Amino acid sequence: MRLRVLLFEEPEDPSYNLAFEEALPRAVGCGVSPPTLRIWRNKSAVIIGYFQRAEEEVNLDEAKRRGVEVVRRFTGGGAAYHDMGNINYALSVPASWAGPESPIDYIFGKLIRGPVEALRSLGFEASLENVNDIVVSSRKVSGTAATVSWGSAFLHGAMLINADLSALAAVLKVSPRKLIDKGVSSVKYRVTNLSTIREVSMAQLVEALSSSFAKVLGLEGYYFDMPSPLELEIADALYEKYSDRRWNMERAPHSDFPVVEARVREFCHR
Amino acid sequence: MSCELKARKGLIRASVVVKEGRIADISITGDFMVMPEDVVFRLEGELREVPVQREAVKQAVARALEGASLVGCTIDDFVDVILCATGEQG
Repeated sequence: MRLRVLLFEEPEDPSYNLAFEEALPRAVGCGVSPPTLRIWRNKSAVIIGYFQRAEEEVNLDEAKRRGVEVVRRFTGGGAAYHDMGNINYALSVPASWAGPESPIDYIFGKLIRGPVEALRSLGFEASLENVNDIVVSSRKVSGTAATVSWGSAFLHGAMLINADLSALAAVLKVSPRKLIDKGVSSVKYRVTNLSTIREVSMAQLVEALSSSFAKVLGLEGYYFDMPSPLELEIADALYEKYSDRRWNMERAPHSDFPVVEARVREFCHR
Repeated sequence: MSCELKARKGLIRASVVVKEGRIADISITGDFMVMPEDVVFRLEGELREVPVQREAVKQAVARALEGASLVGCTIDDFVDVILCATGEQG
């Protein structure tokens, strides 16, 4: 078996990108899609974690001035700045693949080796720090987040290649408590672009991530595919939630969108 | 009032309204990781009307988070930040 890889993105529409991001673990978990790695980009967005409140994490006026959209995702963890210099990866596999191990240990013990090994294969001395941060030369180059939901074990992350770190620092608010803990004075000084360490292209990273995740999963290579009609229908249904101010700005839970939930469940049980 | 706590992994922020010695409203936000995620909303519900006392808060937190996986944070982290936000150190 080979790993299915989707290079499917709507960079101008971060809400759709996030709707599709949720569609994959839904579709994989209910058995209508095979295990899938998705690699994609947003043009200009801040993606906040499920437990975050937009106004606490984002300089909203600055984001608006710069045309940076704020969209909330379905996993916990922190806010991530996305532009075309940042590459996102998302792996969905059936939760049963964890076997006797807890799915969370499986994600943060095994699946997370995918991006770490991908970077090492490109010559970066990458390591894992503090559970889920991927670090090169003591600087964070990729944050990750995960969930075990809808029957899937899901890991996604954002990797900085040549993103605009000034824009990142301008739009993200970081708690002073957190910066003190990290021993730095600004978010800008604890993250870095891979391109400042050595030249690397998007194409190289796509290849490295695909090979590396396939290897970590014990699969025989990978193949590129297109989204299935059903995945697109699930994403279309979820788009309503990801375009809703209550979801993005007011920290509404999934359960506040019962119509969306019912539609998605229908697709899954056709 | 609100209070922030840096757990081993992630920041937990509690914003609490206290009325007559009980939690009237609460939101728990931040970049921590708890799975399944929606237990955090259940936790906020469990905490409403709970007296501002360490034991009572701890019981409510433990009840809501029972069976959940906390990644790099603990039940005591939640209890501490909630009590801190109430102005009560327990």
